[in-house]
Amino acid sequence: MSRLQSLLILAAKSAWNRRGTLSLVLLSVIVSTVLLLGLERLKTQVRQSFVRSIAGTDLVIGARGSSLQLVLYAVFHLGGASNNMGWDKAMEISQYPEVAWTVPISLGDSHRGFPVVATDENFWSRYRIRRDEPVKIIQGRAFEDLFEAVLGSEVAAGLGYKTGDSIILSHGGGERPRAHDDKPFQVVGILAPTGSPVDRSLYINLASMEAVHIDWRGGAPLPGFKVRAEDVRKFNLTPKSITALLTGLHNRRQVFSVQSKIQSAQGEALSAVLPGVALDQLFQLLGTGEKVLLLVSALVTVTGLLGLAATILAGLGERRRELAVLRSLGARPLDVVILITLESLWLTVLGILAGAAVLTGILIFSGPFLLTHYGVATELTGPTGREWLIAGGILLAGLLAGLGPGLRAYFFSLNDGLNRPV
Amino acid sequence: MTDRISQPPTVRLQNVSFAWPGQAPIIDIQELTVNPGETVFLAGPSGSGKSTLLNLIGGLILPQKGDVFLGDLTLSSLSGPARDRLRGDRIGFIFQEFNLLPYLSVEDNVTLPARLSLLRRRRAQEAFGSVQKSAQALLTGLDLEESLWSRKVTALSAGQRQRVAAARALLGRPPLIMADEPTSALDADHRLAFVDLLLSESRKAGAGVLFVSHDRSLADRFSVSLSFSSLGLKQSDNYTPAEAQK
Repeated sequence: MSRLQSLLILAAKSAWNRRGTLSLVLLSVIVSTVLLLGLERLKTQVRQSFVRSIAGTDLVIGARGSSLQLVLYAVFHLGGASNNMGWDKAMEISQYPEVAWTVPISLGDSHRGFPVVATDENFWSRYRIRRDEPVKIIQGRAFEDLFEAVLGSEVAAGLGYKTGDSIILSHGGGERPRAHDDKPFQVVGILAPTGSPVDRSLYINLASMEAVHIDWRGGAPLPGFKVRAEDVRKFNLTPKSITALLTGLHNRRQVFSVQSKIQSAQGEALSAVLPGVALDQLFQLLGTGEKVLLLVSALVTVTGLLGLAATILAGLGERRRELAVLRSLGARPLDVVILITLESLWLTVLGILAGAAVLTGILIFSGPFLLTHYGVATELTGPTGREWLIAGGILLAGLLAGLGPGLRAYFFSLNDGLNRPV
Repeated sequence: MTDRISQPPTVRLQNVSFAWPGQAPIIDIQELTVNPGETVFLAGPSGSGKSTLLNLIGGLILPQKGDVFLGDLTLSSLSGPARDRLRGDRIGFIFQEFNLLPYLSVEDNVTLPARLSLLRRRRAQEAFGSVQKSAQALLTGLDLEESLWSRKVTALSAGQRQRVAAARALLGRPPLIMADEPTSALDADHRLAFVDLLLSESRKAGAGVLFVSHDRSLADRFSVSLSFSSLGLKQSDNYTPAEAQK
């Protein structure tokens, strides 16, 4: 047994003897760890879930405007509607030789707060989550006809729907939207959970979207003009415009040439956005907020570790006699420094481990909540490089915090020698 | 006997003078010697510089004048860490009170010297096969029954605690036991019993004893009795070897 081992054991036993006082200090280290690691974990997971939802799409095309707004709205159904793009333009782009597939997206309606997405059958065959996961139907089937809806997993679970249920869509997404109650939809399918915005959406076909708005103009029902659900088939239900067109290319390397081709084309002014670039803009925006949060958490950690140092320092007076006994047994002044510093190190190590455990527990228990309410899928992964770095930083700070009391103990032991002040 | 005399003294102070900064010398000793196996009683009231003497012999402070020898080594020629190590190897201290670490069990307190001194660990292992067995033998010798060994030291009486301290001082057979008023917290009945136990266990271990106390009633238990105030004189002046008393 080496001297250091002996000191480690002594420090641990001594700390255990004062566990009442020290447990409060430990708690502050745990809270700091949970904050710092939790923030990092959440940040990573939020970014991942953004990236994941759009990973299979090469270009998001819509009316000219903010590329970030377009991606947020078209893919994540966040924020407000930009202008629409013409359907004929969408059809034209889908015929480009470089384009492998297109998925039209038409937004605007909602059902009890969940966005309604009108699209076509390509959504099932072409849309990809992560790199290569298609959207799967776990109950029922895809929409085939008018007034058929397929629900994302959270919509179905949250509202308790099953196939065969009848639902009413609302116009817009506000607090008291006007209902399309004259044209109810039937739930025909429910999707598997994906950990993406798909889970929080309802899917209908473009013709249905057109059909519910056939007797509306400019966001309001036309006065004195009603088309009954049975009669809509008499009308042309080809959409005139859509919100956005998700596009996949045969060859990803052509993405910039296709982008400039679309943006410089004659006629309607369009934006073609690389979703990764738009998300980088978003992450930069989030970065500022993250830095503030990180700063606050770091300050909490510093406060916690100062408390740790203060507690050990306050207890040191009583332990001067103990230090004198150790000195009489041959302990060097350096051993005394190590002994006292180790105490803070032990507490920090314990705090980090417990903090990581608490965080894991929180992630396990709040995972479903985060997914349901924020669409953030929390995966239980091992610590990332940055998380190791943060843990190492806390440990280093704990060591530094312990050096203060350690040095004080050093001077105590030099001054006291074998004398034991009471 | 001749064998012992041929060995260097366990501890020897020669013309040692020490003063705390800005104060008159508190220690002024011409000569103080403890030979191997010798038990020395040193009488001195409080304030006579006992704790300074303890620190000098332990090598925590160095005299301004003169030399302190531990066996064949001169303390002033050694570095601080070397003196720390020597103290751990060669001296078992027993203090007036608060000898024990409150967070360790009785047995863990007794084995503490083996954690800090390699030499004493080895000796304790050689003597009884293991450090633990050495500690248990000493505890038994000092009348501490087995049921107490795993207890917290805070649960013991003052007398029991001093005996645990004695066991710790003796673990690993250091050549010198240095006791500073170890009986002052004990009542009269227990004082003599403690001193007798300490001396008989020290004899078994072959350790010299330097016992500092104001309680002169204990002096006749020792082979040599000295007075603090007379140490400034040549030690031979009031040196009363045990043999000469008989």
